[in-house]
Order: sequence, then C-alpha cells, then structure tokens
Amino acid sequence: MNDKGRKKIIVTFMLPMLLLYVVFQLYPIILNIFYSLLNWNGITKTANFIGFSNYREVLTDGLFWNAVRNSLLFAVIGTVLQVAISFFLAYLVEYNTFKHRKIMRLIFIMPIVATSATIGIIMKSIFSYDGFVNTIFSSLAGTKIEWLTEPKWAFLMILLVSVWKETGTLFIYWMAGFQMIPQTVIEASKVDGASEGAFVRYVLIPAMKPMIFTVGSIAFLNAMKVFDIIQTLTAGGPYFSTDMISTYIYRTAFSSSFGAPRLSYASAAAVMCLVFLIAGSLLMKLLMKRKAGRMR
Amino acid sequence: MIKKIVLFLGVMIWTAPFLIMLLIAFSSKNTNSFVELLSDNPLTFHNFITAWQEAEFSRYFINTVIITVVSVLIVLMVTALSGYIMGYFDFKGKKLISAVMMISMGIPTIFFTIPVYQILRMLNCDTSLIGMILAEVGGGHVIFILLFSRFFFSIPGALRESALLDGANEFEVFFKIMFPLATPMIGTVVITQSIWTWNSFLYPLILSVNKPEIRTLSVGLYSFQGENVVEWGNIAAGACITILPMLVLFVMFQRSFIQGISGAVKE
Repeated sequence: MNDKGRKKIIVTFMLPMLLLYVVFQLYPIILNIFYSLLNWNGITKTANFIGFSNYREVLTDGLFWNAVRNSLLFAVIGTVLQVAISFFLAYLVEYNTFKHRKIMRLIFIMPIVATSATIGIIMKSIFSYDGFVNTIFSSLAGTKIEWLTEPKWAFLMILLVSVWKETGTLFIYWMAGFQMIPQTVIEASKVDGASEGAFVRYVLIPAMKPMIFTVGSIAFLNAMKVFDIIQTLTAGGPYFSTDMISTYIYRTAFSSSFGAPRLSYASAAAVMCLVFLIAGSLLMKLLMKRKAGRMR
Repeated sequence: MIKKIVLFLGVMIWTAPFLIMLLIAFSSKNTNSFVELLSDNPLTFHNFITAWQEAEFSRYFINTVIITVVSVLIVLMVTALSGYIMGYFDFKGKKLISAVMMISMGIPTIFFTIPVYQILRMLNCDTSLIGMILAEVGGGHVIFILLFSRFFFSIPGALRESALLDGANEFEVFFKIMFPLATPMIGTVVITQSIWTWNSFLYPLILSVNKPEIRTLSVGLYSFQGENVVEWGNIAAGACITILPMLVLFVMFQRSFIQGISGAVKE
C-alpha cells in the first residue's frame, strides 16, 4: 500500500530511541576503551597514550581484586538469601488465608519505593552504636556491637540490608510467578490431600523452577551492580571490607578523597569488569546448554 | 501458628525502618539513641521545617520533580514510539536492534558513568539539570520497549490499514488510535519510571559534585548526612520528604507499578 509512508514512520519513530542509544550506550563503550589506554585524570586538556599499562596496573592492584572478590561474594550470598527469604515470605502471604493480606503485600513491596540512598541512611541510624538494634541487642546480650565499623559485621549488615531492600522487587516477581501456575494443578494437589510440605516440595517448587532461575539471575545481576546502599551505608569501608566494583570505580574516577581522581585507570578497571561479566555469562550459557543437552 | 509468628516478625522487620524514621523525624530530641527517643519526648514538626528551609530540601525537591517529570515524559515518548514500530512493523535490522538491546541490559550503570560524564561535558551540560535528565533518559529502557512492543503486537494489523484507507496518515494512526489504546501500558511506564528516576542516585551524585544547587533529594540527603552527622532529626525528616511522594504514588497506582516490575520476568 503506502510504502513510502510506512518507511518514513519506521525511521522517524525509531530515530529518538536509536539516537539516545548510540550516544549514551554504544558510544560510551568505545569511549571507555579509548580512555583506558590513556593516562588522563579527566580534568586536563591533554593526555598521553600509554597503551595497556593501566590494565597491567589494575591486574596487580590488591584493592581491585578485593573489590572483585567482595562483589562476587556479595552477589552469590546475597542472591541466595534474597531469593530464599523473599520466596518464603511471598509463599506465606499468598498461599494462606490470613487477614490483611493486601496490607502485608504492600508492606513487603514498600522497600522498592524507598530510595536506596535513603534506606542506606536510615539503616545507618538503626545499626549505629546507640541505635535501635543495639538497644535491643544490649538488653539481651549485655553488650553493644559496632555493626557498621567492624569489618566482619559490616559485610553481614550490607547483606541483610540488601535482603530487606530487594524483597520489594522479588516479592512482585513471585506474585507474578504464582499466578502463572495453572489453577488446576493446585486444586488437583488439594484433592489428592497433599500435605503442605509435600505441596511446596512436589508441586510449587517444580512448577516455579524456571521462574526461580530467572529471578535468581536477575537478582544476581542486580547484586553485581549494587552501589547506592553500599555508598550510603559504608562507602566501601571499614578498611575496604565492603568495597564493591562499583564503589571502587566511583572512588577512583570521581572522588578526590584519595588524592587526584584517576579517570583512565578507573576506565581500565571498568572495562576489565565488563570482560569478566561477559566471560561469566558466556560460561553460564555454555554450562546451561550442556545441562539441557544431557537432560534430553 | 508458627507461620503466623514468622509472618508477624517479617512484618515487624519490614516496617520497623519506616517507623523508626518517623519516630526520629517527629522527635524533638535530635538524636539517634533509641533510649532517648523513647523517653518523655514531645512530638514536633520542627525538624521538617528546618530540613525544608535551612537544609534546602525545598530546592532539592523542586529539582527532583523537574528531573522526574521531564525524564518520564521523554522516556514515555521514546519507548512508546519505538515499541510501536518494534511490535507492529517488520523491517530490516529489527532482530539486530533487539539483540543488541537485550545484551546491553546486563551492563551495570557504573560502566557508563565515566564516558557519559565526559559526553555531557562535551555537550556543555555536565553541571545542569539538563545533563541529569539526559543521563537519566540515556539508559536502555529495554523493559518498557518490550512492554509496548508486546502490546502493539497483539493489535490486529487491519486496524492501521483501515484507518489509512479512511484517509488518516501514519502519524494520526499512532497518535489518535494506537497511543490512546495503550493507556494501561502508559500508566505502567509512567509510574515505574517516576519511581526509578526519583530514586536515582549514581548520576545525580556524580553530576552535582561541584554544584550543590542541582542536587536531587537522594543526593541532598546523602550530602547533608555527610556534613551533619549528628543532626539525626533533620536527616530523618529529609528522608521522610524524600520517600513520601513516591509512597503516595505507589499506594495510589500499585497495580500499574506491579505490572511494570513483573513485566521483567514474564519474558
């Protein structure tokens, strides 16, 4: 029919998105690689091309590896805790006939709405030396603990706070997932007189398996990206015990609290992490393919 | 019975931070110490007044509103237009575009911050609200594009053809017929993106480092807390100011929001 009009509309309507995408997603990737080969602090007009020496330095930087290790540890443990706890809570709310179910749903979803930066600051107050948690803890145990300024506790605290915060999003995912289970399956298991434990184990979890995997991957990716709550709660401290890739890059590129910012160096670290991320996801895909192949 | 206790504990843990925030914000004792907060302590609005006027939360509030409203409108238009094309039309390169978008979804924001900051400097808007809006709008928004394209995919192609036969042009078809049809999706995108932009932290933090006037609420709160560690009353009041608008929006439009978030896993 009107082929010219068709072409015109495809181009005009796609243009804004493609333009933004090229300028703010694709071009930055190239730019990042380019910066990583310079010795630029981000401020001066000139910079020298120094090849791969930033990469060499990043790979021998103990703080970089510390951040990588923390990020992985946080992502792995965090994902398991977040998925397990939110699933359990969602199950309790959705598969029982308690009163006030709607309000409970709202309560568990609410953390999404609260700015992560705000959460970080509120939690800082709650876990501070005289804060709420220590008030209860000291009345039970008799002593107070420096939850956020002692390395061994600080890491646990960011994990717990992340569970609290992420439950909001994951709860919605589980709600959506539960709705996708065919009603007949649930009724059939009721008719068969399955006990609650049997229902969860043999009906609910198998039915939710693909969903659990998807949600787990999303939670993992989000945990790898974590920045807001770390920066506001501990800023990577104490003694870099909660330093993540994101806080490491942020500090190196933008903050001058540790001397002059080193933009090129941070770029190299960012590119390095992207390479890890891509390698990691390719590896995951390969393993999945193998597993799927074996099952068949 | 055990289930009830567990759930009750869960509800307590998930509400406590909000309650404690309110308690500190309304307390006259500008402290963080829980024992002192519970002791005889008149409620006051004083913290809110100080935060709003002296700590400049009014300015941060206006900045955040401007950034959120403008970004949401731009994101809505961009994703609706491209979602319509991706869902309703077939054209060369469509597969490539969607593949590239899916891959970029997994890249953390921190990776983009360094180059995007420099791009904004080149465009001469690294220290203005425009820069913040661009940084906010520049993300992929892949979920919204998917949401729109799936919706428009479900609409029969005959609708457009008959409208074209009736003499409407392609633009009229979209703006007069298709876009209004997508009202539920529009609601979802507006609510979800509003909450995301409002809560955005990394870009506003980087872009307002040398310019406190353009801080948003979350960055303002963070900096205020860094500069006045002991002013817990004002900090908590600022936190309330930051959270409240989105809380209201969320409670009012829960359904749209939940739909937007769950769209990510339904793929």
